[in-house]
Amino acid sequence: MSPFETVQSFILTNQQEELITFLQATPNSTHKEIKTGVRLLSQQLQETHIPRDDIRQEQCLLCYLAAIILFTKTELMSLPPYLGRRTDVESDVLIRLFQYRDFGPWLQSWIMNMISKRYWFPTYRMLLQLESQQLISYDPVLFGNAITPTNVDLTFEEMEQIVGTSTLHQDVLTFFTRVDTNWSNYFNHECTPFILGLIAKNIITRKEALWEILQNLIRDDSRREKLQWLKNIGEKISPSSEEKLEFQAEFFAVLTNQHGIGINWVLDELKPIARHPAFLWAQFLQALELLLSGKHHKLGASRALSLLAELPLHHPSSRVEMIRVALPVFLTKDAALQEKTVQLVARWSIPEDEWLREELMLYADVLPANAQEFLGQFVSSTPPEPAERYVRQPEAVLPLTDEQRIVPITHWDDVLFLIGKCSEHYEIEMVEQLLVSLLLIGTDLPEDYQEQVSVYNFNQFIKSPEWFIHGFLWDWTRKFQTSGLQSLLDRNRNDDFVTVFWVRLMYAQELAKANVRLPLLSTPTHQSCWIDAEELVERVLAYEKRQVRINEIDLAVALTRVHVGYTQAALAKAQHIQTPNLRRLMVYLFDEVSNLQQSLEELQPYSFHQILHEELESFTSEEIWPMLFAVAARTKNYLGTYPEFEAYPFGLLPNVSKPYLTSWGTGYVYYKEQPYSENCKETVLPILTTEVFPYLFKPLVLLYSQHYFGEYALTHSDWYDGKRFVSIHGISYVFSILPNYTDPLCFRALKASGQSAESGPNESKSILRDSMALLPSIQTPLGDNAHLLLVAGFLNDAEYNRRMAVDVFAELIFKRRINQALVAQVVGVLLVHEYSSIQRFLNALSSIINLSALHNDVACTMLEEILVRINVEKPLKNTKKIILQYADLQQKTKREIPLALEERLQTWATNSALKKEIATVKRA
Amino acid sequence: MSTYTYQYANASALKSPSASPFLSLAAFNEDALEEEIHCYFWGTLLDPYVTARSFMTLSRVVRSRFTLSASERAAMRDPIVTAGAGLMRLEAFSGCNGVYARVDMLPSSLDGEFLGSGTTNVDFNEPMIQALSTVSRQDKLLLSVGEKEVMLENQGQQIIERKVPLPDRWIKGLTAVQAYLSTMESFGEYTKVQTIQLFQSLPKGEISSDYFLSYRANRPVFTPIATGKSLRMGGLHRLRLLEALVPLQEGMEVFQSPDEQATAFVFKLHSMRFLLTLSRETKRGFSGEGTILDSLVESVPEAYIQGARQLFQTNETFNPTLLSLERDLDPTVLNRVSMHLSAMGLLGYDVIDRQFFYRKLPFKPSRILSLNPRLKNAQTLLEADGIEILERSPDRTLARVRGSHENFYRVLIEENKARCTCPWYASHEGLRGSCKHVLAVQLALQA
Repeated sequence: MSPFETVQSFILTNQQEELITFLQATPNSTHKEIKTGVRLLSQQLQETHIPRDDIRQEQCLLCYLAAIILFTKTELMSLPPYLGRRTDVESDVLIRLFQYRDFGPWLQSWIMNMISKRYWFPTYRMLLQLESQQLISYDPVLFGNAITPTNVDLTFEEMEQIVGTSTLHQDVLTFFTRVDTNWSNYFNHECTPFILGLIAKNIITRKEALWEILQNLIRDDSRREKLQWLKNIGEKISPSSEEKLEFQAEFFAVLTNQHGIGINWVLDELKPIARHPAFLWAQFLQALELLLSGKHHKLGASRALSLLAELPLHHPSSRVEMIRVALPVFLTKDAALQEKTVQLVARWSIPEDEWLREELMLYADVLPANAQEFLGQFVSSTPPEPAERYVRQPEAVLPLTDEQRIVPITHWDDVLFLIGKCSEHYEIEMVEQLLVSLLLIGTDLPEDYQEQVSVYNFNQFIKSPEWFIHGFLWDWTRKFQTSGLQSLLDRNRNDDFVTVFWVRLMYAQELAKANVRLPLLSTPTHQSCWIDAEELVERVLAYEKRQVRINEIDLAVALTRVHVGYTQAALAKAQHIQTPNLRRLMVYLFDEVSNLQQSLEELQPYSFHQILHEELESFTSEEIWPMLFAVAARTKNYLGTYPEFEAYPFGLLPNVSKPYLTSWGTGYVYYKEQPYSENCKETVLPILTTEVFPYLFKPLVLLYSQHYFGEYALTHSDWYDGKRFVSIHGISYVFSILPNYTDPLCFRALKASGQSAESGPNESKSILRDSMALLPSIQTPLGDNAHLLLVAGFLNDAEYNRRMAVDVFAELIFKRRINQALVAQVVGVLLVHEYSSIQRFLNALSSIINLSALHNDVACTMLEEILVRINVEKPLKNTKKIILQYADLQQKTKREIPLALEERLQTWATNSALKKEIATVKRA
Repeated sequence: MSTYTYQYANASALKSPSASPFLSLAAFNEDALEEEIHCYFWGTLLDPYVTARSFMTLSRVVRSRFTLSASERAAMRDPIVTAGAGLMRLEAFSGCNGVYARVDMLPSSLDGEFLGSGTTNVDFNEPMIQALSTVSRQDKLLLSVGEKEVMLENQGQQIIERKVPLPDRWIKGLTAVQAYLSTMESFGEYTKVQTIQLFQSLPKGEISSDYFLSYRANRPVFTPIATGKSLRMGGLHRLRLLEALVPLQEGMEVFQSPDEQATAFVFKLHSMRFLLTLSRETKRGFSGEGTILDSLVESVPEAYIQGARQLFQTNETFNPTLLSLERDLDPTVLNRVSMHLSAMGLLGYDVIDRQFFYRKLPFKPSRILSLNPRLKNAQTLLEADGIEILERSPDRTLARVRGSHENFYRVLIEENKARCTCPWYASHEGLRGSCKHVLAVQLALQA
């Protein structure tokens, strides 16, 4: 039997003593063979999962033992994971081995290495043993690391005995800093009894523990769970007044950090000693500066203001500095905090405080309305700006400007670099610009153009729309001898909108092959994807002149992109179109008084241009020309009703004969944050309902019809009552929703953002965000769904979305594009149904308060709409905050209180929880 | 990445031997030539509270990281101090290199003696930083940078040694950020109240999308949508590093580079200034930006570099335009000299005073000179005959450059704008400096 076979047999039969004895006796010459064998054996043992009680667990441990005995120091430093799987060798055995091997000072670094790799974690007891055997020397990091409730391996009594003769005391204190986990149970059930036990046995003192707690709270780089634990320990220690006074500076330092847990605890602890003569009020005020000028710790700020209100009673000389420190609270825009600050300043200021007048000037535009009443002597008596009522301005489609114009590139050098950009980034307008550039440049290419573009990577053929242009370029560089683009169509993956884009690219290939040097009819002339009406007609005329066959899909897209604001010149030119159907279509589109029925009746028999593909059968229709008229009709008047299309089968589809009809607030959906949890609370959400079935999509494609971008979601969805609607594939459906106006698209974005989906409001935040970002730049009037989208953002649970919504809202108020009554109504309904917390809404609303008289007027309207809907008998949580905010805004805007609200306020005047706030409104 | 060993004579500490606390900053300079200086400054801080808070904020920057793992940030890299010409500047980077901070302690903040001028690392250990949190306005605080009587006091004492992995990019960032600062233009200046309001509009949490510094009703605000005059920036949450200083500032000025790739916020703190510079995005460090590479392509006579090193004292201002007038030198050459000096770690830039200041990074020159691999690769490309100039006229150069995979890129240089067909250019369009192909063509044109 070879030496390794012997070792193997000891390991497999779990004979530890025999193994150690044998290995210690083996000559060096056999070590290499044994080590190789042990490595292999250890790996084999762990090829499959080893259950807890399996004998292989012990075998792994023996492999590790063998490694400690035989491996060189270098090998031990880089011990492979499979050898470090089981390392819980009994401490006396390990110590024996350490003595045998004579590791010397190196042992310490090896232990540290094992700890850092999480292979082995020696107990404190064991380290003490190693130190007493002079195998290692004292190292605070090493010993400190071994101090944990579960690893110290000493009873409190044992600790008591050795505390005077060991480093235990200082090691224990490092525990406060080192312990870091997000497991609150560990803190509560392990760490807290551990620390309290140490204090009880006098191993560490209360003061020492308090000092460590404060130092760790000051550091402010711990997890929330640890901060909570530190606070809990602090509460359990319950420091005496003397101890607090001794550690005042440290308590104050906690106030300057960024976490509310420490701040709130410290303020509670300081309250009783604030009246003590030894209280260092100047340093305390200094420490409060950050808290009171920030906005994230409203509870802390409120507690601090309560403390400040009493400070001059016990420390009269603190009066001026206290007021100065409190003033930045006015910037928080929180009505309750502002109210408290006004009261505080009014209470402690004296008429001689000339400096206060100057200070308050700095906050003039954010002071609450009641500042004039309480601080009249310090606040400028100049009359406030006249209140202004918000009135929405009637909207029209904004004209196109030269800044929006997209200029085709005709110089090869520029085209070359544009191809490079399109190979790395996907932006629809850049792709459109490249397409038209390639079509216009035709075959005027440098001889070596293929070599020049060969550095670009077009061979990533993925069947999603952003890669279609790669397919096009791949074929273009090979003079269309390949079928890269052809292969990318996949109707199972790509919905009909994507297919439209693919058809356009295929058609562009045909034009490029024929070298006709004409842009696609649908190529945008202006940002964002608009086509100037006159230029569209000129393109049609050019196609006719060159006898180029028009593709109806491309024409439909062109119709959706036409800017119909100023069309007289286009109409004049359209009369020159030779093809009767095309002429009638263009004339109908640009002539305000043209007769649709007559145009449809006069349609001449037609054939249509087809892109042949095995998956494209449903993408053609015998009714294609009436459909084009339907698109033109919707482009012309996006809210029009067109009974003329009811005669056609496609006329029954949504948005053909009748516009999308949406309504809101009439349905409910049960929503669970964690659908699979039995204990999760079910919330009833009001949902936005419509006669149109939901069509889930990503946003950019929604807001402008041809912005194909990103992933494509489901083409059908489960409706809230469980009824399954299946989307209607095919060109007729695409045509029904293509028109380039935004409201139906906003509706779909709203649906897709999860506002009514079963998954609740958390789904697809990005859809909401991206859609809202586009609202200010939309050039067509904003419809109801755009407003609903905004409200959904306003109350969304993601802060970024709320910020986005509020900023968009503020911007649209400046432009007077918002229907504030609708927004207020929807917010009112949603809040009353507890769709969102009132505090969240108020935080969002605070961003628009005091921006202008218009913004205040809109904000006040919204608060009215909420208040009149709140249950009189059972007001919502934080109703008083709404009332306080309303009191301030009502005073500023001088709005009359609506009768319904006044009655409600009368009722609440007897409600003990609200009567104080109602009095404020009445006083206002 | 190489290992850097801080060797401090002792640890920095805030000591309270008597009524006046004493802040002792331990200093260490790797460059043997600078080791002769044991103490750079000894004196009183005239605004100890603001100084302490500034140092704490600086340490927050050093400890922060926005893209690195916990293990990568474990090694704290100490700030460097430049002392001389009556003022001190403390500079530091975040672990990820995307945030650069500098505390400028102006002469009016110090009452003491500059015993030596130069740049050194200073030990910023955790206990010292924590102790700073108890400094109050009422304290009188003594400060020393280095040990005044180092040889006498520390003989036989244990030297504090801390080994940290010091990535080259950390040093490179220190040099590259100056180039950005020197091109920055002021976006706006805000009062104390406006600054507080602006910081109140900082959103919570980590922010992955771009934000804009914009105006609403004439008030500055951070917003996700751009309206009117706006300044775009990424990784806005990094600005929270400054929050502790917000109540102490007396105003703020914001700067941005014309290409929007770096944004600087300067807090005015009585007799001090705190500068925080953010890279374009959280995941981008300043070291990866190759903005100064184009300037380095054109060589500068060694005599100029040596001359500048001998001419200037630490913290002395270096204004290339004035110098060119005074010494009748070509301004474009002097601009190149300043870029070279900056890339060598010999210049910093004061964005408020709009001038360079001389300082020498406390690292061996060999570390600094080994930077800029993109330029080295361009040189290799040139030496390997990988450049073929296809067209050359005064305002247009077209070249064919061999790529890494035996393919050929086109480089087109027109009216000082260079473009390349390589993926780097397609991705960044020159915003992160020229690619090696463009640099190689520029080198070829010089040859």
